[in-house]
Amino acid sequence: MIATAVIGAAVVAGAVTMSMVKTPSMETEAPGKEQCYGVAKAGENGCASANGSHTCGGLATIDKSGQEWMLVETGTCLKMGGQMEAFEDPKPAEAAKAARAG
Amino acid sequence: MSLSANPETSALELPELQLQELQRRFRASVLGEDDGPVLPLVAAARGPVAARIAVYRNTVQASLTEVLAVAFPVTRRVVGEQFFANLAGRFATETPPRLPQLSAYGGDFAAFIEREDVGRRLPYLADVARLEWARGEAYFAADAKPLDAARLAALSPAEMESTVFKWHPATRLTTSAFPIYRIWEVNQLDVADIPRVDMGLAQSVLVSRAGSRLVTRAVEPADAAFVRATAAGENLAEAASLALAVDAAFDLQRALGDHFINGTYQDWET
Repeated sequence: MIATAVIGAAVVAGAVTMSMVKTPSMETEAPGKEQCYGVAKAGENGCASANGSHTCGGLATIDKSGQEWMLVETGTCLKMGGQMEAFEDPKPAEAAKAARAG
Repeated sequence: MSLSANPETSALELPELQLQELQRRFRASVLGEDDGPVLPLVAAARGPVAARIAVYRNTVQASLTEVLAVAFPVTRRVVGEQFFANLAGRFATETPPRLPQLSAYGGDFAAFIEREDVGRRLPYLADVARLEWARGEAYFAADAKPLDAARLAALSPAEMESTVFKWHPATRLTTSAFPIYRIWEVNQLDVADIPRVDMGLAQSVLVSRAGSRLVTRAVEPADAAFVRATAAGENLAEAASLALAVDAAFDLQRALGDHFINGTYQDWET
């Protein structure tokens, strides 16, 4: 078996040594950020409106009527280049066929 | 407004049935648009009943939209606040909460995105939402004693190879045909300048909890295969074989070291 040659005590011992030297990853996961995340998450357990971020009367943006303009993505997807043209199938005809079938 | 029967309406006589029916109609009303069925059952001290019910509808829908905004901040940033509010509002109407616990709300949101037009325009979006949900689940998952690497090192080689690593309750693997880690990373709220992302890259993301810290990291396809194999109950030797089949250059030592550090696995019973 291939793995038998690979997993020796040395590999595990090496991994153990490594885990004692290194600190938990990741650089992007600053402790402060996670704390904020925790606070926000904790707030979810109650009514979200309890955080005072809105009053029940002032929620016009939730009203579905006449909000077609809201159906256009205005976020970072445009900058990232992730719009559909980035994923164009080499065989557009088949993709269209699949879409119709689905 | 009071949720008592309108004294002038005597269609529903039994108090219990009356309450159930009132609740059913009120629920339908706050989750949708049609007030018709509930209006005759509600008396308002002043003002039009429909306007007063709208206050409840707005509160319910705004609360659920906010819950989703907290759970899916990157998804929201990718499509923009307004679009997200609309999407979340429609999701809330179609899939209201099933549990009286808002942190459990949103598990079906990724599948909903996939069915929507936006899921076709931005084919990576549903997987990004899956990653965000995985992070939320990891955050709220039960605690467990992490795998003691030193204990593993004390085993004989044969025992070591037949050891089955058990996932920590917080561990989640999200595999995508798109660069979901990269997308997640560049859409953190403190990243102002969003770069162009190479959408041709497929990424697997492993979420785990090291102590009280949530760890989100991209893992190589071979490592993802290793982690998946351990979830399926394969022992260390089998899982390593499967990883090596994906990539002959798989560095088991390094991968194990990272799993030990980041709490991917929990301690095994003897």
